[in-house]
Formats: sequence, structure tokens, C-alpha cells
Amino acid sequence: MTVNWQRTAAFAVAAFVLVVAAGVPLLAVVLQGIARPGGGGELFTARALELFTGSILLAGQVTSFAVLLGVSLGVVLGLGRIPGRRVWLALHAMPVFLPPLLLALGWFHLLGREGLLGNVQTSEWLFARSGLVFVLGSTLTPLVTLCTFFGVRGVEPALVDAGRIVARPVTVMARIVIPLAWPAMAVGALLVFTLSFAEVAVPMFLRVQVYPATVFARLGGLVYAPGEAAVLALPVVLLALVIVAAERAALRRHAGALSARGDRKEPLSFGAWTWFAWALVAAGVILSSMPLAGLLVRAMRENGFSDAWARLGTTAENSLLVACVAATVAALLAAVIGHGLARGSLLARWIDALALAAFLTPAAVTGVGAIVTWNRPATAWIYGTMAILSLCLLGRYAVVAIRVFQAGVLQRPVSHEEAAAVGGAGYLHRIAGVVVPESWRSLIAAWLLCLVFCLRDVETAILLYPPGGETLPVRIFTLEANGPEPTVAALALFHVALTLAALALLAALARGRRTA
Amino acid sequence: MTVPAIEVRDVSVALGRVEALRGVSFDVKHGEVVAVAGPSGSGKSTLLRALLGLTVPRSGSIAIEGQTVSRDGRLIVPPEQRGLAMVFQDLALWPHLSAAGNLEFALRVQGVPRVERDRRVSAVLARIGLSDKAGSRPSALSGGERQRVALGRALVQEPRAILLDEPLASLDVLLRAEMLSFLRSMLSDRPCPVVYVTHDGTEAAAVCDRVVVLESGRIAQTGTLAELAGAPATEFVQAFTGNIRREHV
Repeated sequence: MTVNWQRTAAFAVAAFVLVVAAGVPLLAVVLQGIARPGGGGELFTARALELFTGSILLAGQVTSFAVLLGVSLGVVLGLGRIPGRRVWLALHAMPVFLPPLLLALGWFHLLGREGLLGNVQTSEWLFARSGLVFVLGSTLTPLVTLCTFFGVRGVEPALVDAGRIVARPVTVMARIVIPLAWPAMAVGALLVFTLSFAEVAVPMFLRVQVYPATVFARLGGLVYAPGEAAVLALPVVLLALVIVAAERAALRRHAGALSARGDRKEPLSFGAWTWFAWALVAAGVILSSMPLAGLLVRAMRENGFSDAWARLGTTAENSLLVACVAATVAALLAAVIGHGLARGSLLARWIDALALAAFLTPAAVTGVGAIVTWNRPATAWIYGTMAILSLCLLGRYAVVAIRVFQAGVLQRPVSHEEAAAVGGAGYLHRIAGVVVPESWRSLIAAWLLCLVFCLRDVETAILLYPPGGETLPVRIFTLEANGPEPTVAALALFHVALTLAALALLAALARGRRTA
Repeated sequence: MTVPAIEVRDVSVALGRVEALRGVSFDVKHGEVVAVAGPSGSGKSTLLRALLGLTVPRSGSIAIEGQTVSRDGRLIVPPEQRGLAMVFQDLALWPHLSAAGNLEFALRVQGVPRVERDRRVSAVLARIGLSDKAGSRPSALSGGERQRVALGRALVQEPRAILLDEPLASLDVLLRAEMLSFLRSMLSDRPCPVVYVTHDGTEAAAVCDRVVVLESGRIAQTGTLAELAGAPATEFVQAFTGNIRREHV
């Protein structure tokens, strides 16, 4: 009885927190959108439909770009004989942990009219749909690369060896590795599709009209119409639910698809294709590094760093504060829900689905929900303070922590917990005494990765930051329009440094795990 | 003088800082079934990987039917061109392919015409008694059936040699006896030499002509089972030959 009571209580608390942070705002959007009189007329306009289909098409183009490069690169780095593969992977993956706006700024300093490599033609190309596909594609490709990398590392080495005996490495990749690792790749592609569809800051910067930006526009600037925004958000929520279902289908029988269980000692040699493998690696690293180099050169040219330091104010502290609070609560939730997911709990699957839906819904939409839910006198102590940011970031990124911890727990034998249970340990004792001590690196990794995602969020912070609570990405976004370019570039690099510090800790953890 | 089917000369393999094999030399004659025995970590599986070309020896040479396939850290013939087949310890059946698909894969990538492929796959499926399970995925097969598919996958290639890495290790006692008898019948009309890794003396006695015993990466003793039982050079050899059941001696 004690065991069940403890587990039920832990799940109830976790579910309550996530329902408040993610479920209520989503429900509020849906209810407000459905109940609004004349909502159909606002939704089914030719302009809205055109923007919606255009944004879907754009997300499809970005996803195709990312899959084409990311799958090849993930397979090459995951299984190939590429010296220094982890360094190349880290350099390539860096952009995915940064606000895409920073990368767009970097490309602007390279390809803009007065950019290092730019002229009128490159500028026209960048400030158009083509430029948007390129910037989002190069920024989000590492998601597919990372998913593919972990997916192919999860393929049993013997299955690859069995193929290698009879077929060339390229055939083994195409006929055995990719068919076995497709769930991981599909998840990567879904993530890219979702994030590119949800992106608002980069399309606004590159002056390309997209559907989520119309929702966003109803909450700022000259028009403040949260009701209309809620109506326009309805198809986006529906799309997010479809993607949740697709993700579930992809991972239905492959819960450990991203766990990289395989212990491959002998990397594959590509023979005559080695030059192509290295060309792919070089392309991936160059695409990821160039915009950061563009920012660096721009910031150094006119002493942007000293001005940026003066303009930094408390924005970095604010960013860290809200991100730390959200990540800490998310890690605590992950210890319950992530563990439950790994051990096949149905309730954990439902809670995870809610968290995933909140992650997949564009920030512009969850922002509408947060405003509708919390912008009232009784909850001013939340809405008028930094708590609203932490709460919304928690709702949006809890799934990151949950999935990371789930992957960690999946690699630990359930028998250890069963042994503790046989010895009389209740649920909480098993979590605190067995699960967390065994998977503490995964828990810290969950915290750090959630922190990084909270730090990279621009849209939620722009919509909801309280007076005096401006975060660093918000300062960059607002200064970008009229501020001095070197200062904005330097501020962007401060953000990069902040993220790099968190990622360095993650890397140290990963290294410790490999040598342990 | 007949060229050996497999010729291993002074082969050393390093896995990181660990010396997995040190100066190993032996031959496998045409039609011969050689058991490679040894305790865990003695280098048995590493030896198979080196024969297959999945691991490149740091020094020494390996030749298959007189053709040198690796020499002194250099891979001369890649794995897919060596003409060897392997039955893995965990079988390594591709889960996304049917039983027939697993058998057909090698033939397809080697460009064997479709009619010939179908003929060979059907013949082997009939030989291993799984004609009615051709379309089943490995997950839908029993342990014994999966074992037969793994052996069928090796046989269908009509290889220059078959390597088996403790193929019965994961089976229960009853199934192991059944599979041992099946293996013996399959190998009795063997068209090619076999290298059979095992740490079970009974298995070796049932199917092998000669035994190579590895310990700590070196060859501790070679000979027929009777020779090994008559003068065991190490404690492992004594235990290995002592475990053989009466009917096999």
C-alpha cells in the first residue's frame, strides 16, 4: 500500500505542475478560440490560409534541407572512421543550442549588403524565403545529425558486422543501418519541422511573412487582440497534436531509439568514399561556424564588446535566473515522469504527451494561452513577476528534461530497482536511493539541456517578460532593429559564451560517463 | 603441396592498449572443422574478427586459399570480398528483414541474378526446415528457428569458409542438444572449412576435427581432442577435455 501511495502522490504532484504550466494555457487557447464569436471568419480568410500553407511548405523545405545533410552527417559521424568525431560533432551541433536569431544575425553580417562576403545579390537572397530556408536549415540540421548519430550508435554492432561481411560500407549504411535507425531520424525530422514552423524571430528579422508571426503580431505592436490570436492559434494547436501522434508512432516500439546503446569498437572505413565523408563533415562544421565567425568579426571591428558590456545590464542574470528555476523544477519532474516513461508507466506517457504538445506548439501560441490564463488581478503575483517566465519555460521545455532522464534510466537494469523493492524500499526510497544515484549524470544532463533550451528561447520571453525582467535574447531582439550592429553582435556572443559554459559542463559529464 | 584454406601466421591484434592476440599461427585445411577454444577474454572472437577483416591485425598475415587478405597492419582484401560467412553469437539477424530476406541480402548485394537467388534461398530454407517461415521476421521465430536462419544465412552464400562464434551459447540445454545434432548434420556434408569458436568440449567433440586452444591471446595447445585429453598443457585444456561426455570420446 505504501509503495502505491508514494508513487501516486509523486505522479499527482508532477501532473499538477505540468497541467498548470502547460495544460491550462493550451486549453485556454483552445476554449477561447472556439468560443469567440465570428472566429471562423477570422480564421478562414484567404490570407490566413495562404500563410498557413506557406508556413507548412516552408517547414517542409527546411526539414528536407536538414534531413539531406543531417542524416548523412549523423551516419558518417556515428559509424565512420573519422578521427576527432566528437569534436566535429560538437562544433556542428553548436547552433541548435542557440537562439536561431543569433545565427540569422551572423549570416546577415556575412551575406548582408555590407557583410564580409555580401553584396546586393546576396542580401536580396538572404532577405527572402530562400535565405530563411537556408538560415533555419543550417541552424536546425544538427538536430537531425544528433538524432541520427545516437540512432545509428544504438544499432547493435553485430548487425552492422553481419552486413559488413557481405556488403560494402555504403550498402550497409543504406540497407541496414538507416532502416534500423529510422525512428531516431524521424524524430529529428519532426523536431526540425516543428521548430522551423514555430519560429517567429528569424522570419521577422528576414522580413518573411509566416503564420505564427501573425499570431504573435496580435499580441504586440499596434494591435493587441488576444481573442483573435487565440482563434488563429487553433490550427497550430491541431498541428502540434498531429505531430505528437506522429512522434508516438515513430517511437512506439523504439523507446530506446536515441539511447546509443551500441558499443562499437571498430568504426567503419569508407574506402573510396572517404573524401565524401570528410566533405560532409567539413560542410557541417563550416555551416555551423560561419555565422558565429561573422558575429565575432562584426563585434571586434568597432569595439562592440565595451558598449555591449554597458548595455548588458541585468539581462544575463535574468536569463540565468528564469532558466535555472525552470530547469530545476523540470529536472525534479523528470525524476518521476522520465523514470515512469522508461519503466512503461501509462500515466507517465500521458503526462509526457502533454509536455510534448507544449514543446511542439509555437511559443507565440503558448504565449497567448499564458496571457489568457494569467493576465488577471488575482494572478498578478505570477503574471507581473519573473515567475510567469519560469512557469512558461517550464511548461515548454520540461519534455527535454523528461526525455533525457528517460534515456538515462533505460540504460540501467530494472533489476536494481526490483532488488530494492524486494528489500522493502518504497517508491520514493527507490527513486532517491537507487534511480537517482545510478543515473545522476543523466539528471544533471537533463537539467543542463533544459537550461540551454530555456536560455535560447526568444519568443516566450518577448511576449511575457515583466517590467525590469528583460532577458538577454530579448535585449538582442529589441536592439537588433535600431541598435549599433557591433554592440548587437557582441551581445549575441555573450549569449554564445553563456551557452558554451553550460555545454562545457554537459561535455564534461558525458566524458565522465564514458570513462566511468 | 595443397594450399591451406585459411593460413594464419604470427598474427597480433591490439584493441586499444590491450593485446588481444599475440603471435597466433595455425592453418585450417580444406574440409576441416577446427574448434577455437579458450576461456573468456582469451581472444577467440578477436581472432574471428581478424579473419573476417573487421579488425586489422597489427602484425602478421592472414591468407585465404593462398590469397593474402591482410599483412602487417594493412587490409589487403576488405571483408565483403573475402568470401567468408559467419554465424554470430547473438545471431545478428536483421530485424527489419524476413527469414528469406536475411538469406537473400548477401546474394542481392553481390549481384546474383534474381532467379538464381530465389533458387538458392528456397533450397537452403528447405534444408534448414523453414520453407513455411520464409516471410516471418526474426521476432516471430522461436530461438531454434532463429538459430537455423543464422546458419542458413551462412550456407546460402556458398562461402570459402564458415566461422561460428559460440553459436549455441545462448540456448537452453534441450535446444542446445537439438541444435548440436542439426549443426552436425549440416556440417557433415560440408562443402567448406569451418572455424568453430566454443568453450564447450562436448560441442567441439561433436563437430570438430581439431582444436586450437587460446589463452591470454596466445595459442596454448593444438591437436585432436584425443591428443589434448591425453596430455593437457594447461588447466583450461584439462577442464575443457574433462567436460566431454562419454558418448563423444
